[in-house]
Amino acid sequence: MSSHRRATPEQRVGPLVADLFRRASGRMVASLARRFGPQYLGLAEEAVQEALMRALQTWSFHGVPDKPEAWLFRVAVNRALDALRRETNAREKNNELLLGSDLMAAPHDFANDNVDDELAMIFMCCHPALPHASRLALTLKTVGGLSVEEIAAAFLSEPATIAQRLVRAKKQIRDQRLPLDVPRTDELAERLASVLDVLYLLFNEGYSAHGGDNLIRADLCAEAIRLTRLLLASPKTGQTQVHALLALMLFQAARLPARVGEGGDLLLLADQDRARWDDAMTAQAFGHFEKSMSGVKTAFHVEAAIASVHAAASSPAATDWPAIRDFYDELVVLKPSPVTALNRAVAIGMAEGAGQCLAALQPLLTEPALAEYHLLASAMAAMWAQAGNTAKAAHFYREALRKPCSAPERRFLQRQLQRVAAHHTGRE
Amino acid sequence: MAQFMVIARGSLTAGMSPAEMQGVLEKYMAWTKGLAAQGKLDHGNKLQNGTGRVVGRKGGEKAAKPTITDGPFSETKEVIGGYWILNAADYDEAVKLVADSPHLAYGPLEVRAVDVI
Repeated sequence: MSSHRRATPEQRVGPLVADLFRRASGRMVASLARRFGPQYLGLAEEAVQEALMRALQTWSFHGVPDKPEAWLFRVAVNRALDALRRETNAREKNNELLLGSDLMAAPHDFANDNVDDELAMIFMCCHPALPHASRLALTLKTVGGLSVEEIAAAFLSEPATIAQRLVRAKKQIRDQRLPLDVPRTDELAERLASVLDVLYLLFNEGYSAHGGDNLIRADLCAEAIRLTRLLLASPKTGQTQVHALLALMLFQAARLPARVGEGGDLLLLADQDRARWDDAMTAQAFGHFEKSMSGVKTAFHVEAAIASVHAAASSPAATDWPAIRDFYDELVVLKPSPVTALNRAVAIGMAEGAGQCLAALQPLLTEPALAEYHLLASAMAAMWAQAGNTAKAAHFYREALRKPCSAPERRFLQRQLQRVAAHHTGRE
Repeated sequence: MAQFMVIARGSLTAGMSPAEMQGVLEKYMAWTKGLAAQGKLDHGNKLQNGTGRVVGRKGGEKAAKPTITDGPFSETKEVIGGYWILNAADYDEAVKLVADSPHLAYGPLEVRAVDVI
Protein backbone atom coordinates (compact mmCIF):
# COMPACT_ATOMS: atom_id res chain seq x y z
CA MET A 1 0.00 0.00 0.00
CA SER A 2 2.89 2.37 0.56
CA SER A 3 4.80 1.58 -2.63
CA HIS A 4 3.04 4.22 -4.72
CA ARG A 5 4.22 7.79 -4.43
CA ARG A 6 1.88 9.57 -2.10
CA ALA A 7 1.48 13.19 -2.93
CA THR A 8 0.25 15.55 -0.30
CA PRO A 9 -2.08 17.54 -2.46
CA GLU A 10 -2.08 20.66 -0.33
CA GLN A 11 1.63 21.03 -0.93
CA ARG A 12 1.81 19.84 -4.48
CA VAL A 13 -1.13 21.59 -6.01
CA GLY A 14 0.39 25.02 -6.13
CA PRO A 15 -0.59 27.79 -8.48
CA LEU A 16 0.54 27.43 -12.05
CA VAL A 17 2.31 30.35 -13.69
CA ALA A 18 -0.08 32.04 -16.09
CA ASP A 19 0.65 31.07 -19.67
CA LEU A 20 3.21 28.50 -18.52
CA PHE A 21 2.20 25.97 -21.19
CA ARG A 22 2.22 28.51 -24.00
CA ARG A 23 5.51 30.08 -23.00
CA ALA A 24 7.21 26.79 -22.20
CA SER A 25 6.01 25.45 -25.53
CA GLY A 26 7.82 28.20 -27.45
CA ARG A 27 10.96 27.87 -25.37
CA MET A 28 11.08 24.09 -25.61
CA VAL A 29 10.47 23.98 -29.36
CA ALA A 30 13.24 26.55 -29.83
CA SER A 31 15.59 24.65 -27.59
CA LEU A 32 14.97 21.25 -29.18
CA ALA A 33 15.04 22.50 -32.77
CA ARG A 34 18.25 24.41 -32.03
CA ARG A 35 19.94 21.26 -30.77
CA PHE A 36 18.60 18.83 -33.38
CA GLY A 37 18.59 21.23 -36.31
CA PRO A 38 15.84 23.22 -38.02
CA GLN A 39 14.95 20.28 -40.30
CA TYR A 40 13.55 18.62 -37.15
CA LEU A 41 11.27 21.53 -36.27
CA GLY A 42 8.16 19.39 -36.81
CA LEU A 43 9.55 16.60 -34.64
CA ALA A 44 10.38 19.11 -31.90
CA GLU A 45 6.85 20.53 -32.01
CA GLU A 46 5.31 17.07 -31.71
CA ALA A 47 7.57 16.14 -28.80
CA VAL A 48 6.61 19.33 -26.99
CA GLN A 49 2.92 18.76 -27.64
CA GLU A 50 3.24 15.25 -26.19
CA ALA A 51 5.08 16.55 -23.14
CA LEU A 52 2.33 19.09 -22.46
CA MET A 53 -0.33 16.41 -22.90
CA ARG A 54 1.52 14.15 -20.49
CA ALA A 55 1.72 16.98 -17.97
CA LEU A 56 -2.00 17.54 -18.29
CA GLN A 57 -2.67 13.84 -17.71
CA THR A 58 -0.30 13.48 -14.76
CA TRP A 59 -0.62 16.78 -12.96
CA SER A 60 -4.41 16.59 -13.04
CA PHE A 61 -4.21 13.72 -10.55
CA HIS A 62 -0.90 14.12 -8.86
CA GLY A 63 -0.45 17.86 -8.61
CA VAL A 64 2.20 20.08 -10.16
CA PRO A 65 5.83 19.07 -9.58
CA ASP A 66 8.32 21.42 -7.94
CA LYS A 67 9.95 22.55 -11.17
CA PRO A 68 7.23 22.28 -13.78
CA GLU A 69 9.30 23.65 -16.63
CA ALA A 70 12.23 21.31 -16.01
CA TRP A 71 9.75 18.42 -15.79
CA LEU A 72 8.22 19.40 -19.13
CA PHE A 73 11.60 19.80 -20.76
CA ARG A 74 12.82 16.40 -19.54
CA VAL A 75 9.74 14.69 -20.95
CA ALA A 76 9.94 16.61 -24.23
CA VAL A 77 13.61 15.71 -24.68
CA ASN A 78 12.88 12.04 -24.08
CA ARG A 79 9.97 12.08 -26.51
CA ALA A 80 12.09 13.82 -29.12
CA LEU A 81 14.93 11.32 -28.70
CA ASP A 82 12.48 8.41 -28.98
CA ALA A 83 11.02 9.86 -32.17
CA LEU A 84 14.46 10.54 -33.57
CA ARG A 85 15.54 6.97 -32.86
CA ARG A 86 12.49 5.62 -34.64
CA GLU A 87 13.09 7.92 -37.58
CA THR A 88 16.82 7.38 -38.00
CA ASN A 89 17.07 3.75 -36.96
CA ALA A 90 16.53 2.34 -40.41
CA ARG A 91 18.98 4.68 -42.03
CA GLU A 92 21.88 5.10 -39.67
CA LYS A 93 22.51 3.18 -36.52
CA ASN A 94 24.96 5.61 -35.01
CA ASN A 95 23.31 8.93 -35.44
CA GLU A 96 25.51 11.63 -34.01
CA LEU A 97 22.51 13.38 -32.55
CA LEU A 98 21.83 10.37 -30.38
CA LEU A 99 25.39 9.62 -29.39
CA GLY A 100 27.25 11.57 -26.78
CA SER A 101 24.38 13.97 -26.65
CA ASP A 102 24.12 16.26 -23.65
CA LEU A 103 20.40 16.41 -24.18
CA MET A 104 19.60 13.83 -21.58
CA ALA A 105 20.48 16.31 -18.91
CA ALA A 106 17.89 19.02 -18.65
CA PRO A 107 19.35 22.48 -18.29
CA HIS A 108 19.46 23.51 -14.65
CA ASP A 109 18.20 27.02 -15.20
CA PHE A 110 15.82 26.33 -17.99
CA ALA A 111 14.17 29.73 -18.32
CA ASN A 112 17.40 31.68 -18.56
CA ASP A 113 19.33 29.22 -20.70
CA ASN A 114 16.83 29.52 -23.44
CA VAL A 115 16.76 33.22 -24.26
CA ASP A 116 19.34 32.65 -26.96
CA ASP A 117 17.39 29.71 -28.40
CA GLU A 118 14.22 31.78 -28.51
CA LEU A 119 16.01 34.67 -30.20
CA ALA A 120 17.44 32.30 -32.79
CA MET A 121 13.95 30.94 -33.39
CA ILE A 122 12.49 34.43 -33.86
CA PHE A 123 15.16 35.20 -36.45
CA MET A 124 14.46 32.00 -38.34
CA CYS A 125 10.68 32.51 -38.28
CA CYS A 126 11.14 36.07 -39.58
CA HIS A 127 13.71 35.16 -42.23
CA PRO A 128 13.37 37.50 -45.25
CA ALA A 129 13.32 34.46 -47.57
CA LEU A 130 9.90 33.47 -46.17
CA PRO A 131 6.69 35.13 -47.41
CA HIS A 132 5.40 37.87 -45.10
CA ALA A 133 2.24 36.06 -44.06
CA SER A 134 4.25 32.95 -43.22
CA ARG A 135 6.60 34.91 -40.98
CA LEU A 136 3.71 36.07 -38.82
CA ALA A 137 2.05 32.67 -38.64
CA LEU A 138 5.30 30.84 -37.96
CA THR A 139 6.33 33.26 -35.22
CA LEU A 140 2.99 32.91 -33.48
CA LYS A 141 3.00 29.13 -33.80
CA THR A 142 6.59 28.35 -32.97
CA VAL A 143 7.64 31.15 -30.63
CA GLY A 144 4.26 32.19 -29.27
CA GLY A 145 2.90 28.69 -28.69
CA LEU A 146 -0.45 29.46 -30.36
CA SER A 147 -2.37 26.70 -32.09
CA VAL A 148 -3.31 26.78 -35.76
CA GLU A 149 -6.92 27.47 -34.72
CA GLU A 150 -5.90 30.38 -32.50
CA ILE A 151 -3.77 31.92 -35.25
CA ALA A 152 -6.60 31.48 -37.76
CA ALA A 153 -8.97 33.22 -35.35
CA ALA A 154 -6.52 36.09 -34.85
CA PHE A 155 -6.20 36.71 -38.58
CA LEU A 156 -9.78 35.82 -39.51
CA SER A 157 -8.48 33.08 -41.69
CA GLU A 158 -9.32 29.41 -42.14
CA PRO A 159 -7.31 26.94 -40.02
CA ALA A 160 -6.57 24.95 -43.17
CA THR A 161 -5.05 28.03 -44.80
CA ILE A 162 -2.81 28.70 -41.82
CA ALA A 163 -1.84 25.02 -41.57
CA GLN A 164 -0.87 24.95 -45.22
CA ARG A 165 1.13 28.15 -44.84
CA LEU A 166 3.03 26.61 -41.92
CA VAL A 167 3.74 23.37 -43.78
CA ARG A 168 5.11 25.33 -46.74
CA ALA A 169 7.23 27.52 -44.50
CA LYS A 170 8.73 24.50 -42.77
CA LYS A 171 9.45 22.86 -46.10
CA GLN A 172 11.15 26.05 -47.24
CA ILE A 173 13.22 26.09 -44.05
CA ARG A 174 14.38 22.54 -44.80
CA ASP A 175 14.91 23.00 -48.53
CA GLN A 176 16.75 26.29 -48.31
CA ARG A 177 18.48 25.33 -45.07
CA LEU A 178 17.47 28.56 -43.38
CA PRO A 179 19.69 28.98 -40.33
CA LEU A 180 18.39 28.68 -36.78
CA ASP A 181 20.79 31.20 -35.29
CA VAL A 182 21.08 34.79 -34.24
CA PRO A 183 22.59 36.29 -37.43
CA ARG A 184 26.22 37.30 -37.78
CA THR A 185 27.04 40.98 -37.43
CA ASP A 186 27.27 41.61 -41.19
CA GLU A 187 23.69 40.50 -41.84
CA LEU A 188 22.23 41.47 -38.49
CA ALA A 189 20.85 44.84 -39.61
CA GLU A 190 18.72 43.41 -42.44
CA ARG A 191 17.56 40.40 -40.43
CA LEU A 192 16.72 42.51 -37.38
CA ALA A 193 14.70 44.89 -39.54
CA SER A 194 12.64 41.93 -40.76
CA VAL A 195 12.04 40.75 -37.19
CA LEU A 196 10.96 44.23 -36.10
CA ASP A 197 8.56 44.48 -39.04
CA VAL A 198 6.91 41.23 -38.00
CA LEU A 199 6.62 42.33 -34.36
CA TYR A 200 5.21 45.69 -35.47
CA LEU A 201 2.59 43.95 -37.62
CA LEU A 202 1.81 41.55 -34.81
CA PHE A 203 1.20 44.42 -32.42
CA ASN A 204 -0.93 46.33 -34.90
CA GLU A 205 -2.96 43.23 -35.67
CA GLY A 206 -3.66 42.96 -31.97
CA TYR A 207 -4.19 46.69 -31.48
CA SER A 208 -6.87 47.01 -34.11
CA ALA A 209 -8.15 43.63 -35.09
CA HIS A 210 -9.40 44.05 -38.64
CA GLY A 211 -12.70 42.36 -38.14
CA GLY A 212 -14.70 40.12 -35.89
CA ASP A 213 -16.13 40.99 -32.53
CA ASN A 214 -13.00 41.88 -30.66
CA LEU A 215 -11.62 45.29 -31.31
CA ILE A 216 -8.37 44.47 -29.56
CA ARG A 217 -6.60 41.19 -29.27
CA ALA A 218 -4.66 41.94 -26.16
CA ASP A 219 -2.85 38.61 -26.30
CA LEU A 220 -1.27 39.50 -29.64
CA CYS A 221 -0.18 42.88 -28.27
CA ALA A 222 1.25 41.23 -25.18
CA GLU A 223 3.15 38.67 -27.23
CA ALA A 224 4.60 41.38 -29.50
CA ILE A 225 5.74 43.33 -26.43
CA ARG A 226 7.24 40.23 -24.84
CA LEU A 227 9.25 39.36 -27.96
CA THR A 228 10.45 42.94 -28.37
CA ARG A 229 11.63 42.91 -24.75
CA LEU A 230 13.40 39.64 -25.49
CA LEU A 231 15.38 41.35 -28.26
CA LEU A 232 16.38 44.08 -25.81
CA ALA A 233 17.61 41.46 -23.35
CA SER A 234 20.47 40.55 -25.68
CA PRO A 235 23.30 43.07 -26.23
CA LYS A 236 23.53 42.07 -29.89
CA THR A 237 19.92 42.86 -30.68
CA GLY A 238 19.24 45.47 -28.02
CA GLN A 239 19.58 48.35 -30.45
CA THR A 240 18.10 51.83 -30.39
CA GLN A 241 15.39 51.12 -33.00
CA VAL A 242 14.24 48.22 -30.82
CA HIS A 243 13.86 50.63 -27.90
CA ALA A 244 11.90 52.91 -30.24
CA LEU A 245 9.58 50.08 -31.27
CA LEU A 246 9.01 49.01 -27.68
CA ALA A 247 8.32 52.63 -26.69
CA LEU A 248 5.76 52.86 -29.49
CA MET A 249 4.07 49.62 -28.41
CA LEU A 250 3.98 50.64 -24.74
CA PHE A 251 2.58 54.12 -25.48
CA GLN A 252 -0.21 52.48 -27.46
CA ALA A 253 -0.77 49.61 -25.05
CA ALA A 254 -1.06 52.07 -22.16
CA ARG A 255 -4.18 53.45 -23.86
CA LEU A 256 -5.78 50.03 -24.40
CA PRO A 257 -7.88 50.10 -21.19
CA ALA A 258 -9.46 53.40 -22.28
CA ARG A 259 -9.84 52.52 -25.94
CA VAL A 260 -12.93 50.40 -25.60
CA GLY A 261 -16.01 51.78 -23.86
CA GLU A 262 -18.84 49.91 -22.23
CA GLY A 263 -20.30 47.30 -24.54
CA GLY A 264 -17.01 46.94 -26.39
CA ASP A 265 -17.36 50.10 -28.46
CA LEU A 266 -14.43 51.95 -29.95
CA LEU A 267 -13.59 55.24 -28.29
CA LEU A 268 -11.63 57.84 -30.20
CA LEU A 269 -8.59 59.41 -28.62
CA ALA A 270 -10.61 62.56 -27.97
CA ASP A 271 -13.37 60.65 -26.16
CA GLN A 272 -11.15 58.45 -24.00
CA ASP A 273 -11.07 58.80 -20.24
CA ARG A 274 -7.38 59.59 -19.85
CA ALA A 275 -7.49 58.58 -16.20
CA ARG A 276 -7.78 55.02 -17.50
CA TRP A 277 -4.49 55.21 -19.36
CA ASP A 278 -1.86 53.03 -17.73
CA ASP A 279 0.56 55.59 -16.26
CA ALA A 280 3.17 53.04 -15.24
CA MET A 281 3.29 51.70 -18.78
CA THR A 282 3.49 55.21 -20.21
CA ALA A 283 6.43 55.88 -17.89
CA GLN A 284 8.15 52.75 -19.18
CA ALA A 285 7.46 53.89 -22.72
CA PHE A 286 9.11 57.25 -22.08
CA GLY A 287 12.12 55.39 -20.62
CA HIS A 288 12.58 53.32 -23.77
CA PHE A 289 11.90 56.34 -25.96
CA GLU A 290 14.76 58.13 -24.23
CA LYS A 291 17.07 55.16 -24.78
CA SER A 292 16.18 55.15 -28.46
CA MET A 293 17.40 58.71 -28.99
CA SER A 294 21.10 57.99 -29.44
CA GLY A 295 20.71 55.96 -32.62
CA VAL A 296 19.83 56.53 -36.25
CA LYS A 297 16.29 57.82 -36.62
CA THR A 298 13.90 55.20 -37.99
CA ALA A 299 10.17 55.19 -38.70
CA PHE A 300 9.72 53.52 -35.29
CA HIS A 301 11.36 56.56 -33.66
CA VAL A 302 8.98 58.97 -35.38
CA GLU A 303 5.92 56.86 -34.64
CA ALA A 304 6.99 56.62 -31.01
CA ALA A 305 7.44 60.41 -31.00
CA ILE A 306 3.88 60.88 -32.28
CA ALA A 307 2.54 58.51 -29.63
CA SER A 308 4.56 60.38 -26.98
CA VAL A 309 2.87 63.67 -27.89
CA HIS A 310 -0.53 62.08 -27.27
CA ALA A 311 0.71 60.52 -24.04
CA ALA A 312 1.99 63.88 -22.81
CA ALA A 313 -1.33 65.66 -23.40
CA SER A 314 -3.49 65.79 -20.30
CA SER A 315 -6.58 66.47 -22.40
CA PRO A 316 -7.45 66.32 -26.10
CA ALA A 317 -7.40 70.11 -26.28
CA ALA A 318 -3.88 70.17 -24.85
CA THR A 319 -2.54 68.01 -27.71
CA ASP A 320 0.30 69.62 -29.62
CA TRP A 321 -1.10 68.93 -33.12
CA PRO A 322 1.43 71.06 -35.00
CA ALA A 323 4.19 68.88 -33.49
CA ILE A 324 2.34 65.75 -34.57
CA ARG A 325 1.89 67.17 -38.08
CA ASP A 326 5.64 67.83 -38.27
CA PHE A 327 6.41 64.27 -37.19
CA TYR A 328 4.08 62.98 -39.90
CA ASP A 329 5.95 65.11 -42.43
CA GLU A 330 9.05 63.15 -41.38
CA LEU A 331 7.23 59.85 -41.39
CA VAL A 332 5.97 60.13 -44.98
CA VAL A 333 9.61 60.41 -46.00
CA LEU A 334 10.92 57.56 -43.82
CA LYS A 335 7.99 55.26 -44.48
CA PRO A 336 6.05 56.40 -47.51
CA SER A 337 2.70 54.67 -47.60
CA PRO A 338 -0.90 55.65 -48.36
CA VAL A 339 -1.87 54.92 -44.74
CA THR A 340 0.85 57.25 -43.46
CA ALA A 341 -0.37 59.91 -45.88
CA LEU A 342 -3.90 59.44 -44.55
CA ASN A 343 -2.76 59.88 -40.95
CA ARG A 344 -0.74 62.93 -41.94
CA ALA A 345 -3.84 64.45 -43.51
CA VAL A 346 -5.76 63.92 -40.28
CA ALA A 347 -2.94 65.58 -38.31
CA ILE A 348 -3.03 68.52 -40.73
CA GLY A 349 -6.75 68.74 -40.12
CA MET A 350 -6.27 68.89 -36.37
CA ALA A 351 -3.49 71.46 -36.64
CA GLU A 352 -4.87 73.64 -39.41
CA GLY A 353 -8.55 72.87 -39.87
CA ALA A 354 -10.94 70.75 -41.89
CA GLY A 355 -10.32 72.56 -45.20
CA GLN A 356 -6.60 71.73 -45.27
CA CYS A 357 -7.34 68.16 -44.21
CA LEU A 358 -9.85 67.62 -47.01
CA ALA A 359 -7.34 69.03 -49.49
CA ALA A 360 -4.75 66.52 -48.26
CA LEU A 361 -7.25 63.65 -48.30
CA GLN A 362 -8.59 64.35 -51.80
CA PRO A 363 -5.69 62.79 -53.78
CA LEU A 364 -5.89 59.66 -51.61
CA LEU A 365 -9.42 58.87 -52.81
CA THR A 366 -8.02 57.43 -56.04
CA GLU A 367 -5.31 55.47 -54.23
CA PRO A 368 -5.95 51.76 -55.01
CA ALA A 369 -4.32 50.60 -51.75
CA LEU A 370 -6.93 52.53 -49.77
CA ALA A 371 -9.93 51.49 -51.86
CA GLU A 372 -11.11 49.01 -49.22
CA TYR A 373 -9.83 50.99 -46.22
CA HIS A 374 -12.78 52.21 -44.15
CA LEU A 375 -10.69 54.77 -42.26
CA LEU A 376 -10.21 56.96 -45.35
CA ALA A 377 -13.94 57.31 -45.94
CA SER A 378 -14.49 57.75 -42.22
CA ALA A 379 -11.87 60.54 -42.07
CA MET A 380 -13.50 62.28 -45.05
CA ALA A 381 -16.85 61.99 -43.29
CA ALA A 382 -15.52 63.43 -40.02
CA MET A 383 -13.91 66.37 -41.81
CA TRP A 384 -17.03 67.16 -43.84
CA ALA A 385 -19.02 67.02 -40.61
CA GLN A 386 -16.56 69.42 -39.00
CA ALA A 387 -16.83 71.69 -42.03
CA GLY A 388 -20.62 71.67 -41.57
CA ASN A 389 -21.54 69.70 -44.67
CA THR A 390 -23.68 66.95 -43.15
CA ALA A 391 -24.81 65.61 -46.55
CA LYS A 392 -21.22 64.89 -47.59
CA ALA A 393 -20.46 63.55 -44.13
CA ALA A 394 -23.38 61.09 -44.30
CA HIS A 395 -22.32 60.05 -47.80
CA PHE A 396 -18.82 59.13 -46.62
CA TYR A 397 -19.99 57.40 -43.44
CA ARG A 398 -22.20 55.22 -45.64
CA GLU A 399 -19.24 54.53 -47.87
CA ALA A 400 -17.08 53.60 -44.87
CA LEU A 401 -19.76 51.16 -43.74
CA ARG A 402 -19.49 49.33 -47.07
CA LYS A 403 -15.81 48.44 -46.37
CA PRO A 404 -14.62 45.60 -44.17
CA CYS A 405 -14.12 46.48 -40.51
CA SER A 406 -14.65 45.02 -37.04
CA ALA A 407 -18.07 44.89 -35.39
CA PRO A 408 -17.28 47.63 -32.79
CA GLU A 409 -15.88 49.86 -35.55
CA ARG A 410 -19.04 49.26 -37.54
CA ARG A 411 -21.20 50.29 -34.55
CA PHE A 412 -19.06 53.41 -34.16
CA LEU A 413 -19.57 54.37 -37.80
CA GLN A 414 -23.30 53.77 -37.51
CA ARG A 415 -23.52 56.05 -34.47
CA GLN A 416 -21.64 58.77 -36.33
CA LEU A 417 -23.90 58.37 -39.34
CA GLN A 418 -27.00 58.73 -37.17
CA ARG A 419 -25.54 61.85 -35.58
CA VAL A 420 -24.93 63.63 -38.88
CA ALA A 421 -28.14 62.29 -40.37
CA ALA A 422 -30.03 63.94 -37.49
CA HIS A 423 -28.81 67.28 -38.84
CA HIS A 424 -29.67 66.32 -42.32
CA THR A 425 -32.85 64.87 -43.76
CA GLY A 426 -31.03 62.02 -45.40
CA ARG A 427 -31.01 63.38 -48.95
CA GLU A 428 -27.66 63.65 -50.64
CA MET B 1 -14.23 8.20 8.07
CA ALA B 2 -14.34 5.81 5.16
CA GLN B 3 -12.22 6.02 2.07
CA PHE B 4 -13.42 5.93 -1.49
CA MET B 5 -11.53 5.22 -4.66
CA VAL B 6 -12.60 7.43 -7.53
CA ILE B 7 -11.45 6.02 -10.84
CA ALA B 8 -11.43 8.42 -13.75
CA ARG B 9 -11.53 7.39 -17.38
CA GLY B 10 -12.04 9.55 -20.37
CA SER B 11 -10.53 11.12 -23.39
CA LEU B 12 -9.57 14.62 -24.35
CA THR B 13 -9.97 16.19 -27.73
CA ALA B 14 -6.85 15.85 -29.81
CA GLY B 15 -5.01 18.91 -31.03
CA MET B 16 -5.63 21.21 -28.08
CA SER B 17 -3.44 24.29 -27.97
CA PRO B 18 -1.01 24.75 -25.06
CA ALA B 19 -3.29 27.43 -23.60
CA GLU B 20 -6.31 25.14 -23.81
CA MET B 21 -4.41 22.30 -22.17
CA GLN B 22 -3.38 24.56 -19.32
CA GLY B 23 -6.99 25.67 -19.01
CA VAL B 24 -8.14 22.06 -18.54
CA LEU B 25 -5.34 21.35 -16.07
CA GLU B 26 -6.24 24.42 -14.03
CA LYS B 27 -9.82 23.21 -13.70
CA TYR B 28 -8.63 19.88 -12.28
CA MET B 29 -6.21 21.70 -9.97
CA ALA B 30 -8.88 24.03 -8.64
CA TRP B 31 -11.16 21.07 -8.00
CA THR B 32 -8.58 18.92 -6.18
CA LYS B 33 -7.43 21.97 -4.22
CA GLY B 34 -10.98 22.45 -3.00
CA LEU B 35 -11.20 18.82 -1.89
CA ALA B 36 -7.81 19.05 -0.18
CA ALA B 37 -8.83 22.21 1.67
CA GLN B 38 -11.81 20.34 3.15
CA GLY B 39 -9.58 17.44 4.13
CA LYS B 40 -11.43 15.20 1.72
CA LEU B 41 -8.52 14.30 -0.56
CA ASP B 42 -6.05 11.63 0.50
CA HIS B 43 -4.05 11.49 -2.72
CA GLY B 44 -4.29 10.93 -6.43
CA ASN B 45 -2.25 9.34 -9.17
CA LYS B 46 -2.27 8.99 -12.89
CA LEU B 47 -2.54 5.50 -14.30
CA GLN B 48 -0.29 4.50 -17.16
CA ASN B 49 -1.66 4.97 -20.64
CA GLY B 50 -2.67 1.89 -22.55
CA THR B 51 -0.96 -0.66 -20.31
CA GLY B 52 -3.98 -2.32 -18.69
CA ARG B 53 -4.23 -6.10 -18.45
CA VAL B 54 -7.23 -8.24 -17.69
CA VAL B 55 -6.28 -11.47 -15.99
CA GLY B 56 -8.83 -14.27 -16.04
CA ARG B 57 -9.08 -18.01 -16.19
CA LYS B 58 -11.26 -19.48 -18.86
CA GLY B 59 -12.80 -22.76 -17.79
CA GLY B 60 -12.74 -21.90 -14.10
CA GLU B 61 -10.58 -23.85 -11.67
CA LYS B 62 -9.94 -26.69 -14.10
CA ALA B 63 -7.97 -24.59 -16.56
CA ALA B 64 -4.23 -24.84 -16.21
CA LYS B 65 -3.19 -21.26 -16.88
CA PRO B 66 -4.81 -17.88 -16.44
CA THR B 67 -5.51 -15.86 -19.58
CA ILE B 68 -4.11 -12.39 -19.85
CA THR B 69 -5.54 -9.90 -22.28
CA ASP B 70 -4.87 -6.25 -22.91
CA GLY B 71 -7.48 -3.87 -21.81
CA PRO B 72 -10.03 -3.48 -20.54
CA PHE B 73 -10.24 -0.07 -22.06
CA SER B 74 -9.62 1.04 -25.58
CA GLU B 75 -7.20 3.73 -24.64
CA THR B 76 -5.86 6.39 -26.92
CA LYS B 77 -2.99 8.78 -26.54
CA GLU B 78 -5.31 11.52 -25.36
CA VAL B 79 -6.82 9.47 -22.58
CA ILE B 80 -7.19 10.75 -19.06
CA GLY B 81 -6.86 7.87 -16.64
CA GLY B 82 -6.20 8.08 -12.95
CA TYR B 83 -7.65 7.79 -9.51
CA TRP B 84 -8.12 9.73 -6.32
CA ILE B 85 -8.59 8.38 -2.81
CA LEU B 86 -11.18 10.52 -1.04
CA ASN B 87 -12.24 10.66 2.60
CA ALA B 88 -15.99 10.66 2.95
CA ALA B 89 -18.60 9.44 5.45
CA ASP B 90 -20.60 7.40 2.98
CA TYR B 91 -21.50 7.00 -0.70
CA ASP B 92 -23.85 9.96 -0.52
CA GLU B 93 -21.05 12.25 0.51
CA ALA B 94 -18.53 10.70 -1.87
CA VAL B 95 -20.87 11.13 -4.81
CA LYS B 96 -21.60 14.69 -3.77
CA LEU B 97 -17.87 15.41 -3.67
CA VAL B 98 -17.29 14.27 -7.24
CA ALA B 99 -20.51 15.67 -8.69
CA ASP B 100 -18.80 18.93 -9.63
CA SER B 101 -15.60 17.37 -10.94
CA PRO B 102 -14.35 18.92 -14.18
CA HIS B 103 -13.50 15.40 -15.25
CA LEU B 104 -17.15 14.72 -16.04
CA ALA B 105 -16.71 16.75 -19.22
CA TYR B 106 -14.27 14.09 -20.48
CA GLY B 107 -15.59 10.83 -19.12
CA PRO B 108 -17.25 9.01 -16.23
CA LEU B 109 -16.04 8.61 -12.67
CA GLU B 110 -16.37 5.29 -10.89
CA VAL B 111 -16.76 5.61 -7.13
CA ARG B 112 -15.94 2.56 -4.99
CA ALA B 113 -15.83 2.37 -1.22
CA VAL B 114 -12.60 0.93 0.12
CA ASP B 115 -13.72 -1.98 2.27
CA VAL B 116 -11.72 -2.09 5.46
CA ILE B 117 -12.33 -5.04 7.73
